[in-house]
Amino acid sequence: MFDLFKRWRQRRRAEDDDAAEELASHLAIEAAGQKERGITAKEASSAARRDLGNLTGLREQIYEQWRWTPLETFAADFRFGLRLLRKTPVWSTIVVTTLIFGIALTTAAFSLFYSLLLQPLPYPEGDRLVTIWTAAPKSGYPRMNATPANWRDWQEQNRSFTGIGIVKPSMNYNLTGVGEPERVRGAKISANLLPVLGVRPFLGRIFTAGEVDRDAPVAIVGHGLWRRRFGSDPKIVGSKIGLNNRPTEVIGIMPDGFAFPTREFELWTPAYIEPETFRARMDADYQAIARLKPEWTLARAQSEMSAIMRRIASDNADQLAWLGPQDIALEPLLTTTVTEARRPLTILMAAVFGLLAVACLNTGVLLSLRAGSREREIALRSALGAQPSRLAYQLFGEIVPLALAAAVGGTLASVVLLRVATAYLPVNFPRTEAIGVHWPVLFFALGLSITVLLAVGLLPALNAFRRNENEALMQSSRSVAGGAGTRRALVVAQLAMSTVLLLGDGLLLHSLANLLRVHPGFATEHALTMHMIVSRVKYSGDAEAAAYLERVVRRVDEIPGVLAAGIANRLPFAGTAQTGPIEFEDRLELGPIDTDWRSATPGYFRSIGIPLRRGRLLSASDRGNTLRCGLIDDQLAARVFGRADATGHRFRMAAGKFHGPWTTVVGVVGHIRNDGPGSDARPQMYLPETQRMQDRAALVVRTVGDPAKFLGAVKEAIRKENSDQAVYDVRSMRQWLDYNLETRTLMATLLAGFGVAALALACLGLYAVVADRARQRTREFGIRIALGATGARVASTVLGEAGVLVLAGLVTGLLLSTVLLRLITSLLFGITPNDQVTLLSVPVFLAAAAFVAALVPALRAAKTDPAESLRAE
Amino acid sequence: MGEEKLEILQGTLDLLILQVLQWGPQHGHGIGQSIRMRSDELLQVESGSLYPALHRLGRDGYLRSEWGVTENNQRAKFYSLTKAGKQRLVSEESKWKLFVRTVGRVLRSQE
Repeated sequence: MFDLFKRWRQRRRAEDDDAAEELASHLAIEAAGQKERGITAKEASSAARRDLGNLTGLREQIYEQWRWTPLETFAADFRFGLRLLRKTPVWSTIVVTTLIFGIALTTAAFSLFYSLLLQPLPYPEGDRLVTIWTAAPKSGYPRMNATPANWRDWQEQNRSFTGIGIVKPSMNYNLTGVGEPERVRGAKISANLLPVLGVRPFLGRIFTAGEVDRDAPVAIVGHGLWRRRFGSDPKIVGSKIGLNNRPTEVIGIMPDGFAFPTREFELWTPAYIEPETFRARMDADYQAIARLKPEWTLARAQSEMSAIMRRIASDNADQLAWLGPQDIALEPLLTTTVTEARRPLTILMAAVFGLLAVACLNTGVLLSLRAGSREREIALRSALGAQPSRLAYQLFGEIVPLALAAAVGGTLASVVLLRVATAYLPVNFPRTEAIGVHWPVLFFALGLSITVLLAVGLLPALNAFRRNENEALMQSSRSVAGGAGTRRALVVAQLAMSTVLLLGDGLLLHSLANLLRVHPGFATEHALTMHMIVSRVKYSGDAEAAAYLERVVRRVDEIPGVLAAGIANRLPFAGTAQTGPIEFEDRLELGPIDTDWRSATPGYFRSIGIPLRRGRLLSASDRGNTLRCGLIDDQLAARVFGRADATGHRFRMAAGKFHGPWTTVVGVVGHIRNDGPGSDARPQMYLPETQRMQDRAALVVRTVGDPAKFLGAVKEAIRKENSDQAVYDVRSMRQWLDYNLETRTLMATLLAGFGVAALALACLGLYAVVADRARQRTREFGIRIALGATGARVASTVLGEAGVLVLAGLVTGLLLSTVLLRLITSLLFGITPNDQVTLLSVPVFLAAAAFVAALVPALRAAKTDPAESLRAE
Repeated sequence: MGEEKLEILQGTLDLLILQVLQWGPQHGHGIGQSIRMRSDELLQVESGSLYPALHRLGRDGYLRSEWGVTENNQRAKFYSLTKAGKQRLVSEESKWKLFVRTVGRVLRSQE
């Protein structure tokens, strides 16, 4: 590249030398001619020189003739632009920094957006993978996981797929053996799942169908776990590890980057399904993933599967009728994976683009102002014959070094920004392992920079076209620079955009505050939580396992400072799990009611702060062989029994043909919001662990003072009871609640940052425009002050002008918001997009900031010295 | 030199240059001389405008140039018409004649 450039320069220089020689030869001939008239050689040559005229000028003119290549003019403009930038370092720094900021932010956001939402799945022909959901809308389940029975029938009857695999994602394993016991997240998979996905272990092999059918103790280990725990030792394949105290043979290691279903899963075991589960058509805990056959479309597969499902429902009406009409919903696997992240990311992108727009507008204003200050120079050149197009090109070319610096700086900054951002993403964000800088993103950055260049350079260039030479040359104080109207419009646009961003953020913040204020039904402070998985190898019988949990709780209870301790199988806000219908013996006509099923130890309710309303809590005397008893919450009691006492009545779990044992209500407890502070979906029902043992145990410890101080003691107590017990997901209750709101908090924070940044830029633009205008009217102010006006009057004039702009910006912003903010309605809690608090506070905040920005030029105007201003031109 | 010198417009200069070169290659000085001579010194050809014009015509492809030697053994750059230059000469000449006729008609109509 540079080589071409050098050669070009050399050629031009050679041409110039040639022209010089040509002119010299002309002089020689002319001098010779003059000499024939009989004057001296010296006089002849000077006469020749006089005749020819300005030699250098001629050379320049000749040079100009050959110059008409856009490249050369562009290079000159570029150099000029660079000089201009160097002359005003503060201005240049502001503009370049603003642009770098805008481009970096937008590119990083798009990088996230692309990596998470648009990038194809890392499986071969990943776009042919679909999730098979069952839909049973009548029974309140618009989306259901697959039951093994359905899976078997789908496999037998379908023609659309090359294979359907299933995965049960929520398996927790205690990994024991070398070192600390560790909880590892694993998934149970069918033998054909990995082939359906199209991936193989890079060491070892996959499960055989036989191994799955007999629940063989084998496992496939993930790359991260292999590296972290086993030191990347290939000899681990074939050796045994301890999973929940069951010696398990490692048969394969997955390649790096394989993260299925999410990057939290590090282990895969065979999905052994008992024949009874098939027969009863129960256990809708599996995700079914299928690969479309090459020629099949999704629509075609969808209609086939719907027909199959209808057939299955009618063939098994006795077992499935309770669900109502069922259908199949096919969803591309990519969509399934990223659904949760889609909305926040889209909003993030929109906000970032808004900020970028403000940054560009601001730069446009500043550039336009600078062009305005060069009005006279440009007018002069125009009067001397420069074509308007030539001027426009020149102004445009001067922008290029600016935009180049912004483009390069912005792209580099975006890489850094991305790395930082990834560290702060909520843990449960999908596909975070896929984040990186990809080619589409780089092209995007390039396209963005070019667009920014055009947007920002166009304004002063356009102004150059519409120049009125006379006015500009005169430059009276009343003359309005050609761009002033446009500049004001730009400032208004910036203010409007800032208003939208701040309003959106205000709504999100208000929603967040509302959510934090919601009382979820249990105590949020002074409690420590942690999770354990009970090893069924070590405690094989239900009674043994329940007794183990009781012993653990007792040990923890004995710690000084612990007020109460208890265990339940799920904490509140742990997601929707373990839900199902129950029916009441004396109120069968009500039909089955969807509830959360929980198993708990007696101390749980005190430790988590769920109050007792009636009757008694679960107690230590409820054993496996005593009366089957349970608790229901007050919401359920009121719904089923009204004011009457619910205790003594009986209920049972009832899903289709499956029925649990009849259980007697012995107490009514307070209702909690299980799914989250923002939703109140279902009532709860509690059974004693001794009567319904669950492997998963969430320990809640109520403490005096700071719960974190008790962590060591609690862990020690557990270890004393069972040194192999792995403990994971340790948080104080407060932290647990905050974790639940993490995404929201992040979004509100980011949007606040964007809004404030946009406002800062808008105020900068406002300041620049107002100051410029005030400067132009210096003479007028001087006269007015000389004639007796107070400084305050003059200042208020300036402020008044600024006020008009702010008002216009606010109104435009509010109008825009009524349309745009409707899009985030689903994220709001407890308020509508017309929330009064936000609608009031944001404009006030914005007006205050703008007031401060306009104050400086206003005060300066008020102090105008009449004598000086009249002296100045 | 009491008579007024006629000023030359740029477009006309091009035509004159092309016309002069019709008779064969010539260097810049010589072209200027020719024009001056043929107009009996009435047409002022500033050397200052001649050379840029020559280069412009060269850039536009109507002339080609070559270093050579004059009768006086002076090294000089000689210009000659290209094929495009010859065509340009014809078209410019006819345009000029039309111009003259039209202006003349307008002037006569005022008599």
